[in-house]
Amino acid sequence: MTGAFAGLFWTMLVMYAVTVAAQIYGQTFDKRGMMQRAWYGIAGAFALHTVLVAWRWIATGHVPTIGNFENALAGAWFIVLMVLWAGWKERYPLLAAGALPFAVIILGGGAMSDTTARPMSASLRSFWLYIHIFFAWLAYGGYTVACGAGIAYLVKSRRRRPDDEAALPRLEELMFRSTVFGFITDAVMIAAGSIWAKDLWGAYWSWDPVETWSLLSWLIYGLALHLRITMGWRGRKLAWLLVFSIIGVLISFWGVNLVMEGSSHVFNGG
Amino acid sequence: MKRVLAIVVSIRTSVVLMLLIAVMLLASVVVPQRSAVGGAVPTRTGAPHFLIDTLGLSDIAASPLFIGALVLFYLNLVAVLAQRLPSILGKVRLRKLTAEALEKWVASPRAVERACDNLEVAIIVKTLRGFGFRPQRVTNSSMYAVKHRYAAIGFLLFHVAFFFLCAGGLLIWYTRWSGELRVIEGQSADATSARVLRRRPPGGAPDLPFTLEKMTPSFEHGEATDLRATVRVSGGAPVDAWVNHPVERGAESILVTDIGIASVLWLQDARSFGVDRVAVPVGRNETVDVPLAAGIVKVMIQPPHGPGLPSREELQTLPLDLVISEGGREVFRGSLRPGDAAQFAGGRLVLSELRYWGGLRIVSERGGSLLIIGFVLIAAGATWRLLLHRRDLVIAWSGCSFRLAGHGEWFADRDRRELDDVANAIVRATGEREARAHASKGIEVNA
Repeated sequence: MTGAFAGLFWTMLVMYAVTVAAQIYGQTFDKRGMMQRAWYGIAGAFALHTVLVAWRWIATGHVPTIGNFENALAGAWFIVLMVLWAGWKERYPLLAAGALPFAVIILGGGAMSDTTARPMSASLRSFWLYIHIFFAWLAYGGYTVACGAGIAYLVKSRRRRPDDEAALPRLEELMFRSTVFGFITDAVMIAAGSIWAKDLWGAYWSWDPVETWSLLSWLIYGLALHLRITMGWRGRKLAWLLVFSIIGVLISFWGVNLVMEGSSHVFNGG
Repeated sequence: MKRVLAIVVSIRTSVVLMLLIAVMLLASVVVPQRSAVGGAVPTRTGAPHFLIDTLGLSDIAASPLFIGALVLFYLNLVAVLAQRLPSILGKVRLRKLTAEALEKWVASPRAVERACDNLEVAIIVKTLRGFGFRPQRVTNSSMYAVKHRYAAIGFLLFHVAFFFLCAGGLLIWYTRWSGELRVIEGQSADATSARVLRRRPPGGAPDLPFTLEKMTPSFEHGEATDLRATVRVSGGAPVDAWVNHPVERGAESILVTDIGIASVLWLQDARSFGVDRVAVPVGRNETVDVPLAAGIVKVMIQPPHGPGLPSREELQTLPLDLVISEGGREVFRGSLRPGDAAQFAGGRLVLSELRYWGGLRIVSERGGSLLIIGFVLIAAGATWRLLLHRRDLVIAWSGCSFRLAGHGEWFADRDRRELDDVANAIVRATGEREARAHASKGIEVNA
């Protein structure tokens, strides 16, 4: 990563970091003007982010999916897209304070890894890769929004200002809806990965650590949905559960290959 | 007995079992799996090793604890489905709402009220249908409507999917055979010559004779980026297997996984008569010993110089470093290119050509289609149940106003907004009809 691309990347990262900090500050000290301006800042950084994704795509000739840097670039783009969607369409601007730090951390982590553009290896030349990764990004975006909404819910439900009371039911619903969205797209991601694995390795399931961890994450969110739907988990309990559940997703994305051995998954190679 | 049954069908039991499975999966990620590390699970000492062996955590799929948890999970699933089935069927049937129940519902404080003159039943019906509701008249001035009535079937689909996954998994476990082998271009092979990775409980290797005709690597900026193996299966027409695109023949498939260089060596005696001819893969980083003429002549082939895989054109001139011994005595040390010969007292060794070898994996299994059905049902069932969720609505009207009340299964806030949208649409449609009526009256008067 050199030259103009690197300059734009770091500009984008700084913009995200500053606007997230402004969102958190605005939330904490009730500075609505600052929050609004920060929202425009996020939109600006996202535009820059889109340019960078397109740039990388054109430069490498493939969708940015190879190595930690490209996965971070595209994965964070999906997270910000979903945060912007939820903020604009559903009027949840405070979500940015809860969910966007994850995008900043993912981007930072990606920048720390090997950023060299590489040709796509044979194992990744599959139609299923795009389905698998596209749904993975959607799922991780959905889970991150659920986690962000959970954080916002925990803050607001503890603070209990008059306008917080009105926001809580909507935040709770956003937590649930994002989890539902993530759960369904995660299921498609696992299924697509399994079909791809059959073509690539000759087995639908090999108990590879990344596979197992993805199943574990899906199971945890399935558990969360069961608790919400049939056992009536609401409010802070559900929020805490969703905040902690994101750890599983982060580990399946990065952690498994860092601390465990024996994974054949190539996208974590960096 | 009733108490046991209550525990079996309880959602608490489901949650506990899911947690148990999750904990075991967590353990299986921390403990290296035999399937992932090829059987060589790192040795640990003391209690953890004992625990890992006893609980079978290094082979989670075969661990008695995990299988036990899965059996209990499926029993719970059967019990829950059997218990829920009548209520699901009840939900799917369009029930008749009594006038009293409707009146009570529409009088709730959460109902939406709108003023609207000259309300017509046809407009209400059309508007409700436009929003996807199926309306049903209850009294002359009230209506009940339901949207996504069949959503409860999604619950069945989602949970039944796990039985397809289970059946597919069991069938694969029972029928799966896999092995891998290296075949040099031009050679014929079958599954019996493969290194077996997994034997199936009944029967042996699949009957799959084939010939590897050609390996074709693709290069991008000097790096090999794709592989194609052209094979002729059971004497049929040549077909291509690519990485990610195996050749499939019924339950059997041939996957291409690797490529390397193979040398074709001719040993000739002093009168140039052929004594032995072999084709052997050349190692990437290690030397390869090749015995010829019943071990009288030994050839040690060094790995080729340079990184990466040479292209087919480069193979024509690629030098190989060899050491030849005859009767335990070194008789030649040097480089040979394809077509070159090493002379020594007892004869000569010709490196006649260099070819590629292909690393192939043969897999035979049944049950994959059941897994795919399971995957489709999971995604479809969850979408149907959770996103296309059921909404019920009642509307009652009097002379110049109407009240609308509704209930959605999951998303109260979103459903509340939908209720507002329906009410506004009815008011708007009524207003537009009135405007059209006035306009047509005006035209008549003018005429």
